[in-house]
Amino acid sequence: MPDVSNTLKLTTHNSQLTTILAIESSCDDTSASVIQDSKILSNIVASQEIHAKYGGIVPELASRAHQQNVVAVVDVALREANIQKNQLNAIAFTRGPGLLGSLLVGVSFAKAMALGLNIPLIEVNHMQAHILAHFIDDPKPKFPFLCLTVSGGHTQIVLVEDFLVMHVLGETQDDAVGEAFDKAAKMLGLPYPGGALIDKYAKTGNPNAFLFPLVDMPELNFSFSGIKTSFLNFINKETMKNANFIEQNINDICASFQFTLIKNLLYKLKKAIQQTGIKEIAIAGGVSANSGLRETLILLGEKHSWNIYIPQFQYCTDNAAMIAMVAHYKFLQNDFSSQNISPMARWEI
Amino acid sequence: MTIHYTLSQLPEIAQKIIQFQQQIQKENSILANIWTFEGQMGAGKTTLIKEICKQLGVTANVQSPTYSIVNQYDITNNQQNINQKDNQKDIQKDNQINKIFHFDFYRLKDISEAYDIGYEDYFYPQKANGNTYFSICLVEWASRVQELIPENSLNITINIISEDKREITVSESGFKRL
Repeated sequence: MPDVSNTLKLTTHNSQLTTILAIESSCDDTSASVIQDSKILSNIVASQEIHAKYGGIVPELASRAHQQNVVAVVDVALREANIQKNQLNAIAFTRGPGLLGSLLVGVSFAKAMALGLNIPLIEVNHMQAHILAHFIDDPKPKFPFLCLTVSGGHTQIVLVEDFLVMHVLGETQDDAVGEAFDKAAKMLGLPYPGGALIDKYAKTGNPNAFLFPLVDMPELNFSFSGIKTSFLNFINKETMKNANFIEQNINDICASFQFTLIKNLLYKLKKAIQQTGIKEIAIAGGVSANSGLRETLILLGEKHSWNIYIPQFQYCTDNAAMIAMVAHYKFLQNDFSSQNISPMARWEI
Repeated sequence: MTIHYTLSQLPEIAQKIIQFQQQIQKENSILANIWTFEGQMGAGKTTLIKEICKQLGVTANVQSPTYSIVNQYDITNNQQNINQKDNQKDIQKDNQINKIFHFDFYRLKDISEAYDIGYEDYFYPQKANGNTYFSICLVEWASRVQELIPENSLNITINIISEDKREITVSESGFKRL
């Protein structure tokens, strides 16, 4: 007579569902996600709410914060997915790029858990993950596509040939575009980071009210450091003439500044489209939440018949679901990492 | 040392700062590996650091560390190491500089966050394979973690004079002749 428990186990294996836990800890936010085949079952980012359950507060930055968050976040991710630890087939983690101390927490936790469960480890590149966030929900871009990754820390145009085959065509030579938004907000006396507030004020402003010079970098590269200084000069000059200049013109200032940044991003993106002939266009990263960028890109897409892909906001900012997505494709290729692996602060796509 | 400069003079200014640092090291027989940079947002701290990195032998693209807090760069050109060794034959001969860390503490709300990122692993020498490795730390917004800045440091302040003019002051603090 066959052993019942063995039969059950066989059934689970026959169904061939691959379940992976992914951990992201490259910068500020600790996050964990469970993916089953290509379906995200949970995506948890450390928040006040999670900590309320565990009786603590969320520290804001870096490794100690991740140490305090990681257990709670993984636990909630597994529970929400209704997955037991022994159902996991692999543990994935962000190996880089990022802050070394922060990465180390995720790497160590993933290693220990994989060792304890005797399952493989999968290393993930954070920048690749931002791009594969597009494969979480429909509609999904078709290969090859171009991805403009824009966030507080990154500004890149990437040619994506396949799930794990990508080339950076251009990137910022100094500040990220999200940083330009946040720092301009600070110069206007708004709280830091205030990029989202610029977007809010810009909605009712005139984008052509003021002109800000922007350096055109060679090829498909960006520079957003100079505009920060010219914005500062502009604000200083105008407030000397009129102390209430900012409050009287906040909408126009924000609209004009935002318009300049978006124009530059899309100018380079258009150039990349012309160079490659690719019309499948994706945006990723936290700044893709900017309504001005979304609207302008969609309009341009309609005009030039580009297919535009914008992920849900929760998959634009740093999250573990996108790490899980990369892990899913690496698992299919049996691309596993050794237990000797260490994090990498710098890691090109 | 106080100098007025415009953007086009940046390479020259970076060179002067590097020479100043090497002179301090020579005179005091001590490694001046922590350089602090002060100046308001938009003054050109990152721009100056980009040029300094280039002259120290960094070939990679030096980006702003505001979001990442710290970026690291390898020194591919050995010129700096050669200079270090020439200058400090006696006490530093086994020491090597193999990395540059570019910090921006702007986002830090509290000094405890600097402890959290493990700042001391970057600021102080690390031993490996019988060698002692020093890193050059270029620190923007060091004032946010002032009490963590080691006694021996090079302090660079940038003031905005006009739209395209800056005044830079370079001084050393805490160096004692050995």
